[in-house]
Amino acid sequence: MNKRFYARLARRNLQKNIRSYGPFLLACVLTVCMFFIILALSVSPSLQSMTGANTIQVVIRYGVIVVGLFAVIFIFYTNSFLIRRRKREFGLFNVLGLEKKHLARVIALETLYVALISVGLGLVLGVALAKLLLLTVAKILGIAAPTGFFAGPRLLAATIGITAAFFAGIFLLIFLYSIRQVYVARPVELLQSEHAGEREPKAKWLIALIGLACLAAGYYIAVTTTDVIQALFLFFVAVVLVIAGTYLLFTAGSVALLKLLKKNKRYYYKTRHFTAVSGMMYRMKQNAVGLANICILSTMVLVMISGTSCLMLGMDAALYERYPYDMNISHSDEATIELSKKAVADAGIVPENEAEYSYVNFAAYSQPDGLLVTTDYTFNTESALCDVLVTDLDDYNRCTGQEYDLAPGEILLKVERMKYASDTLELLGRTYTVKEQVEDMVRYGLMTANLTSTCYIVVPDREALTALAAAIASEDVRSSEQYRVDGLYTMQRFYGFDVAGHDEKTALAARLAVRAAWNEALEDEGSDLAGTYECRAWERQDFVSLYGSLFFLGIFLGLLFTMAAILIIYYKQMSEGRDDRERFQIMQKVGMSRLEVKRTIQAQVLIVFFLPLVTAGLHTAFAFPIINRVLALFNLMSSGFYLWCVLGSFGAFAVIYAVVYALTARTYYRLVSM
Amino acid sequence: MTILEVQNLGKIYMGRFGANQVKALANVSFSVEKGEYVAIMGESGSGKTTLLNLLAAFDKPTSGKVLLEGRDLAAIQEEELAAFRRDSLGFVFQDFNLLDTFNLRDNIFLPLVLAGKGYVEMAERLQPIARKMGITDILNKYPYEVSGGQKQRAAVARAVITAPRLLLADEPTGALDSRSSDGLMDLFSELNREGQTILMVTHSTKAASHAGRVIFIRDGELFHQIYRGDATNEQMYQKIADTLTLLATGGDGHE
Repeated sequence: MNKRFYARLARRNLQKNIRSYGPFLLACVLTVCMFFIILALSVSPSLQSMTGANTIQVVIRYGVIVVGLFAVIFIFYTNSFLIRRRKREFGLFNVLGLEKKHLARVIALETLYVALISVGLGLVLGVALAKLLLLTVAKILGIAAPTGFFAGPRLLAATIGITAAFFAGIFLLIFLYSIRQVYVARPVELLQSEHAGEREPKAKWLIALIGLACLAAGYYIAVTTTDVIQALFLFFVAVVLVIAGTYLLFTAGSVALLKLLKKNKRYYYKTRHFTAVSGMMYRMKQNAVGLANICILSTMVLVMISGTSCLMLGMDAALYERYPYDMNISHSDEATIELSKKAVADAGIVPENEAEYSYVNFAAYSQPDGLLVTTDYTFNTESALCDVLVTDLDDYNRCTGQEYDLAPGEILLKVERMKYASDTLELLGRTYTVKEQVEDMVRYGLMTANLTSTCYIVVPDREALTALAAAIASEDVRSSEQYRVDGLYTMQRFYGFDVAGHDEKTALAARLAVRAAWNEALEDEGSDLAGTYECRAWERQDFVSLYGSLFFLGIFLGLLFTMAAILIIYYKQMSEGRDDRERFQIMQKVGMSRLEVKRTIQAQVLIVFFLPLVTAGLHTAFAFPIINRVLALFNLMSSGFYLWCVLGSFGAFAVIYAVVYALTARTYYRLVSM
Repeated sequence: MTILEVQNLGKIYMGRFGANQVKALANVSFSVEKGEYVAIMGESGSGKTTLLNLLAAFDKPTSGKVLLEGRDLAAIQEEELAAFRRDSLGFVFQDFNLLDTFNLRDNIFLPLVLAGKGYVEMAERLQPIARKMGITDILNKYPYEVSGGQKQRAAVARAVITAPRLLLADEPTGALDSRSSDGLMDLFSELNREGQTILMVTHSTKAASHAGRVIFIRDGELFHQIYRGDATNEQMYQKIADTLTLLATGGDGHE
């Protein structure tokens, strides 16, 4: 046969099936484009030159893997759907005399066209958008716009080459899959394949119950896990349980529920329920997995976007927790603090909002009536671990503006993320009387930003504090491997201050001044300087690069998954429209008015469409407590703020979803009423 | 009493942009009395199906009128039409038009459910009809689980459960083997004896020979009609066969 014939046939097939291949092509183009962009970002030298580039690159490389995996699964899934739809067409060709190897040739050409269009357009779009995306990333990360995206044409060519090769591989894979579909089937089967599987589904109660149990267990874990460290691990357990539960419930649970409704004759034999219940039963049989996919994708989009946007938007709050002052200096030698103060003053910077106090910071196990200092780690129960900070009354009163009095042996106490009920507190062999549990406390970033319980103790005077420091220093604790560092348990002096208007430049200048002073002191005395200086503006850059790249990746993957969800929805509607056409024609003949038909269609489409969205909303709601706790790992403590992020994400997603619904519902109705 | 009156009915199908006008029916007039069993015969493309579609108000005529119990079908509003069709007409189709998603019982209940009837009433109505159709035992089965004849009997049950004034059948034996066809025709005769008015479109001489009157159409026009009178089914069969020969050889009919 003429070579041109195959090419023409392949072209015509694509044109004829444009309604199903169009969205597929568009999705492929966008997937290629997004893969190219994220790959380009991961190797972009201009990103590498930025501050915090390491974090950004790690996060974005992780993104490349996710997008790549997604591309394989997604393109494969959509293609298998398309091929299933076209089996009848292939059967017809087969009957008309086209041998299977000829069919294979046509399919090969079709796949080639799709691949060429997808990769070609995708790369063009990718190259055009990559620069824009890079600028966006730079904007999100709050850094100056980098100039020049690629180091040279070689890197660009390499990126394009990798993308093209990767997608060529995927398309080869789907070509092989399609061929197999055609080869294993006989023509009669091919012709009839669309009518197979019309049997009414059976209710699988056991599976439905297992699904319910999985979901309940997942939800239970999400809601009840209070420990932050545990939350991080259990989160994944909960995710797996909820995903399993969703699939099982959508497939078996829905049918079981509909069977139950059908058994109730009063309910079932109502005009509005009659066609809907039986129709839904078949719909769920064919589409449960697709709907579950949509639901899972939607949930991922919601969790990802709300979580990362919360991190990004709540970053400053987290920064202020971790670094309470613009400059936070801590040192065992008071002279160094004075040195720092002088350096700052010499640099012409006027400190504001100063706070200065002496403290001892150590770890202990909280007990019902005291704190236990030990290195015995067999003493497990990790949650009882407690970070302790002790300061004295003078410093406390000065820093907080309070006017407390303490008799010897009395203390003020403040605990966070734990409860302490006893009136006395035993520590290192001494029993103190808790005079009051107070609200105000000196601000120490490592304590406020801590994941474990924290305990602040205010002792009456400097002598008591010194004595305590000596007691700890004399403990066996010090001799253990981990704490060989001198001064860790010795008394320290904290000095924190803000600069005028929290100006970043001034703050950074203050940091440089302190740094220079410390280096000088180190050279002069060669002393063992045990201390830290932390500048919020400086640290912010690290926060920004981590949270910003997570945020960017969240949005990026969110868009990708949303696109996938939309496409699956579209195909669902189309295949259902075709199946339903016949049914609704019969119903009209038997006496259902067009209006009733339209109403029934709308009701069914509405349920099928919004079931995944509502379920996704439910999942997100139940995920809320555990994600809130995981976010705490990122120094994000405000759950009210996260709530707004979730609501915002859900709202935005629901709007997009509703628009897609309106569009596809129209296509569906057109198909049905044709 | 006249149930159905067809007056000068005409239907012209328009091609796109008014080109290619096709005259499907022209100036067809006849009437059906209550309790009659009328068969309409004609070759493929003679306009039988067009006629049936017009009678069922699935389509609108270009000229003429269809009166059902004196009521002009064209005057019924679109919204009311579905309910009217449901209550007044029963349909039996060549390809059964049963819904695969319902078992036979629910298929038969469909028009009643659409009419908003309660379950108890529906069950009461179904019982005698199911017995008559011989499908009582298979009511719980699904269409794909039963034979063509059983499907068609379920479809007839669905058509008559609303006690329609007129039962319209479009090639009811078209997809059935000869035994099932005979069974179905006996069923139609029995329904007719009990007073059901039936109008059936068919090109099966055997099927038409059960009718009380046979109307022949050719090229969209009423060609001839014959009455059974006292004739047996076999005699009727012969009469129809003769008329069909005349029709095929191009003779001029009109009684």
